[in-house]
This record gives sequence, C-alpha cells and structure tokens, in this order.
Amino acid sequence: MNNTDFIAALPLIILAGTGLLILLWDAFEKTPSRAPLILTMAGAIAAAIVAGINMTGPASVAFGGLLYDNAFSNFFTIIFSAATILTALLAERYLLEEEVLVGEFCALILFAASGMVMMASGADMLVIFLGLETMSIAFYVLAGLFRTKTESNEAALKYFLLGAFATGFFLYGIALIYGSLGTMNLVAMSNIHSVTTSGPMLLLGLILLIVGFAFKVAAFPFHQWAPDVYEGAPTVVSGYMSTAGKAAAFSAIVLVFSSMPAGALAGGAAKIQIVIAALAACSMLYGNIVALSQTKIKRMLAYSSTAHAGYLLLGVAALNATGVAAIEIYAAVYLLMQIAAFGIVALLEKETGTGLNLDDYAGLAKRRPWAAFLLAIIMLSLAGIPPFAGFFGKYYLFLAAINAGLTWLAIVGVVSSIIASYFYLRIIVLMYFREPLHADDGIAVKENNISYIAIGLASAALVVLGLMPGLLTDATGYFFK
Amino acid sequence: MFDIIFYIFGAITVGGALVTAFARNIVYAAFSLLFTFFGIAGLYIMANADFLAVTQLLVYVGGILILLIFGVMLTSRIGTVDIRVGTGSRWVAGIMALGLFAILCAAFFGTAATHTEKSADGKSQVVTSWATHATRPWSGSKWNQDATTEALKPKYGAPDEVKSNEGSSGTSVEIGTLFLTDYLLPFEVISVLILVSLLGATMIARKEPTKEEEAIAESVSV
Repeated sequence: MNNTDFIAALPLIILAGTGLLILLWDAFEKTPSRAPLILTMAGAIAAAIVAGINMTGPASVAFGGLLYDNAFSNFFTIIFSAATILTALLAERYLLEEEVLVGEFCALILFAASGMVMMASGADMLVIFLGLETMSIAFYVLAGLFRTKTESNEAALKYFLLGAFATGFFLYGIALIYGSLGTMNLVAMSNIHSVTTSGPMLLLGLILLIVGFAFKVAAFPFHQWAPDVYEGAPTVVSGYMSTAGKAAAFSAIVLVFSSMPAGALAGGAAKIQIVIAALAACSMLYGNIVALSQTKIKRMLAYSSTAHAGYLLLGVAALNATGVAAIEIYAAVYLLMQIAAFGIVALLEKETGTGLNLDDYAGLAKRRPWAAFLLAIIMLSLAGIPPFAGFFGKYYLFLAAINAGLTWLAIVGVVSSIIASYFYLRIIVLMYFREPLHADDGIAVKENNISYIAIGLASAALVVLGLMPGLLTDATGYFFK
Repeated sequence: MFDIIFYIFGAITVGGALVTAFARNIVYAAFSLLFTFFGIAGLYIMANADFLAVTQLLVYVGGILILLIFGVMLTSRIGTVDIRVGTGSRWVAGIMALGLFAILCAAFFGTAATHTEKSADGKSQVVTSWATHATRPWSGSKWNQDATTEALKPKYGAPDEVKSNEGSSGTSVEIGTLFLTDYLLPFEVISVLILVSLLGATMIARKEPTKEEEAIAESVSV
C-alpha cells in the first residue's frame, strides 16, 4: 500500500472511520445528543470533498487491481455521501422523537455508505460482494430499528430472509463467472481478448448475478419484499435504502457488465440484453400500474421505486456510454427526489403511525403551505415533468435506449411515465384542491426546521439541475460535449 | 482411486442434504447436516484447498452445527414439531428445483471453455476451464498461475520463496501472504463487515429497559 492507494481509498476510510468514531463516542456519552448526527454529516462531507478532488485527478486502479479511482466511482461516492447527509438531517427530529439509539443509527448509515462506496469502486467481484454485504446487513438492522413496532420487525425479518436468499444467487453467479473466465478481477476480465468457444456457464453466471441484483434494486418480478419493507421500516431509513442502496447496486451492475470480455459472450450478449430489457419493461409498467391503486403513501412510493428501478435498468440494457452517464445522472436525481419525498412523509407522520394515508394529504396546502409546495416540486420531478431534474434524467435514459437500438423499450418507458404522472399529480390535486377529510388534523403537529432545510436543499437542487442539466452531465465525466 | 473417493464424498454430501431437506424431525435434520458439511470438507481437500477444508470443519461443524444442536436442545418440545411446511407448494417447488438442476447440468456439460488470455509479455496463453479439464480437475491448483493476475500486479504478490513452496506446504501459507499483500483491502474490509454484523446483532438482541430500570440507572448515575 502506497500513497496513491491510500488516497484512492480515502473516502472509504473516512466513512468507515467516522462510523467507528461515533461508536466510540457513544460508549462514553450517556445522554442522547445530536453530536453523532453532526459527526456523520462532517464525515460524509469530508468523504465527498475527497472524492471530488480525486475525480479531477487521473483515473487509476488502486491496491493492485482491486479498487477503481475514476470519475465513475468518485461520482457515486459523492452521491452516496449526499444521501448520508440528507438522511442525517432528516433523521434529527425523527430519532430524537422516536427514542431510538442515535449513535448506532449514525454508525450504521455510515457503514452502509462505506459498503456502497466499495460497490461503486470495486474492481474485483470480491470487493463488490463485500460491499454489498456490508450495505445489506446495515440495512437489515436499520429496517428493524423500531423494535417495539411489529411492522418494523416484520420488515427487518422479511428483508433479511429474502436478501440472504438473493445473496446466494449473487454468489453462485460469481462462482460460475469465475469458473468460466478464470478470474474475479474486472480489469483482468476486460483484458481477456478472445474466447474460442463460449459455453452456457458464463451466461448462467451472469443471469444469476442479474437475479441477485434485481432483488437488491427491487425490480419486477423480484420486488415483492419492497412494499412491506419500505412501509414497515422507519421512514427516513426507507428513503435511504430505496435511493442510495439502489444507486449502489446499479453502479455495481454497470461495473460488472461493462467489464465482460466482448468475445466471451459472443451471441450471449444479445440474450443478456433481452433479459435486462424485459426486466426493465416489466418493472416500469408493473410498478407504475400497481402504484395507481395504492392508498398509503409509503406503499405508493415503494411501487414507484420499482418503476424507477426499471428506468435505470433501461440504461443497463443500453450499456453504451450514454447509458452509463444516464444511469449516473438519474441515480443522482432519483436520490434527491425520493429522499426528499420520504423526508416529507416522515415530517407529517404521527408517532402513532397515522398520517400515512393519501387522504391525510388532502388540503395540505392550507395547513402546511411549505410542505405542500416542496412536495409538489418533488412529485412533478418524479413524474418527469420539465423543467425539473427528473425530466432530464429520464430524457438521457430514453436517449441511451434509442441509441442502442432499443426504441421499443424507450416507448414503453414513455408510456409508463404517462401512467405514473396520474398518481404523482393526484397528490398535488389532493393537497391543493381538496378540503381536509379529518377535522382533527391527521398529520403531525410539530414543525421541524432542520428537516425543512434538508428537503428544501434537495428540492432546490432539483430545480437548479432541471434548469442547468449541464452541471450533472459535466460531472459524470462522460459525453454530451 | 481419486475418482472413487470423489464420488464417495459427493454421495455423503448429497445424501446428507437430502435427509436434511426431507427429515420430519429437526434433530435428524441437524445431524444429517453434519454429514453434508463433512463431505464438503472432503471435496475441498480433493481440490487442494486444505485451508478451506479445515475452516469448513472448524466453522460449520465446530461452530454453527453445535450452536444449532444446542438451540434444539434448549428449546422445549421442538423435537416433536413437524418442520415441513404445507404440502400444496411442494410439487411446484420440486419441479422448479429439478428444472434448475437440469439447467445447471446443461451449463456444466455444455461448457467447453478454452480461451486465451493476454499475459504480461503479450503472448497468448491457453487457459482451460476445469469443467472440461482433460485430467482431474484437482490435479493442478491454478493458484498463482493465472497469467492475467500476474500481469496486473507487478507491485505486489507473494514472495518467490512462498511460490516455490507451492504444492508442498499446502495453501495456508500462501493464503496468509496473499491476505497481507494482494488482498489487503478485502481483508481489512471484512473487519468492517464483521463489525456491522456484531453491532446489528447487539442492537436487535438487546433488552429494552423498562421504565423502572431506567429510573434506577438514572439514580445510580446521579
């Protein structure tokens, strides 16, 4: 290990180190305080800054071919850090009110973030797998944070069992790929320049890998756990795992699939592309159609997150330069939208678990004009309506699909976006044009400025990135120039 | 001779797994799991992975299985419970499992992967996947023979004296060296993974203090 290795791994070290620091702090601190949250944010900001500096430097592979240090990995490191910061800000009110262990919560989200960084920068399937496990185990525990609530326990158990099952598929996939290519290293794989005969073993390994990933990103038909887990888990945690967790899984998919040796797949590449395209189309349609009939906002967001996984899979199916950049852009934009949406839900939900039905949002504009305004921006962006950032994210994904000759998939995407706009806009209609159903105000009474700051920042970013999409496309370090 | 021993270990593994899956009584299931773990350890030894075999015995047989049997022993009346779940889905599950088995077999026998890799000096080297290895798959450990891995890692790697010992001293020396050279990063990262697991386990298993206990704790600290 020399200096360049150390610098390449620095964001990872900072995130995990801050987690350790918080655990130590927590051991000596008796009274619950905001200190762990402030430390979390400081650590995440430091990691983001280091990643930003690394991004401008030359691309390299550190640790003798185990860790990428390039624009792609650092871009994802920055958005994972952003997600961690937003989650810490949103969690402030939520944690102190619900009386959970703040120190442990902060340590877990930081460890999860370090796992995500490993997934986005792993140049070896071993590192990617370890990152995936670190992230997943932290998520299983975070889902069950409210130990006294049955739904939270159910969420944790369901997520754990299905997640462990998915890990099995993932590992088997890695084993078969190793068996047919003789290496787990992505750099070495992309160097294999010719394969005389290609057997179905590599193809099977890749399919098993896709199954494992599809579980993690909740793509159809591996999405069944998502609504229950997102509903049962603490709301800020749902926001974190449905965004940063998905972005991490997609970064790893892109890394693995783009390093497959061109010759090794031969005719198999087209088959894999069809499988991914089918997953994308089904996820988009199914997620959005089922979300139409939901009456609870967290379930609605869960099903729509399946649809968003479908949009991102569209970029994987294309797997050209445009597709990779589009995945980066949409992962960042989706992260802002979804975390902010869950943040507003967390802000309005009551301790007793009410305030989560769509009906509770009726007439919100009169009772909470700011929350309604911000939620309106987020919903418009989620629906993909210009000039908000969600529109450009989708635009680049569809563009990538068309460039890759998958015009039919882009058409499915557009159609499903139109379906989706119905339930996103319905919330705006409810908030602004309906009278409240409950006389007693079904939503939480307390206001919280810190949550508003986080949601406001995310919404402002959505507007700014929507008006100036060049900021993001430049940051991806790829094309459109 | 090797072939015969391989099939004996394979039969022990599969047989143990079958009994585990179909046993009505959880105690039988737990005990037959012992044979599966033992058989897998035997297969590891035949694949020249002696370190892995010992780890398999220590962790699975020595740790997990003992824990499982203690759990059965300390849980009252669990031995009489029929652990199999409803019958309706069993046929579907069986057909799907057989289908998956058929696909795996097809992949295994259909793969004749001989591919060339670029080595450090630019020459091509033929690498044969073990599924169609002309000789026994376990006869040549590919450890450290991977040309691409060598090419990638000019900076690190096991010292030459360790490499020259290959085959005579087993794999544990090499694994140890690799953990502290080539695979330092995963080795360190595993400690984070284990820490997260420990933290998660304590968070889920901890006792929720009652109001009275909290009051006592407060009075003590004051």
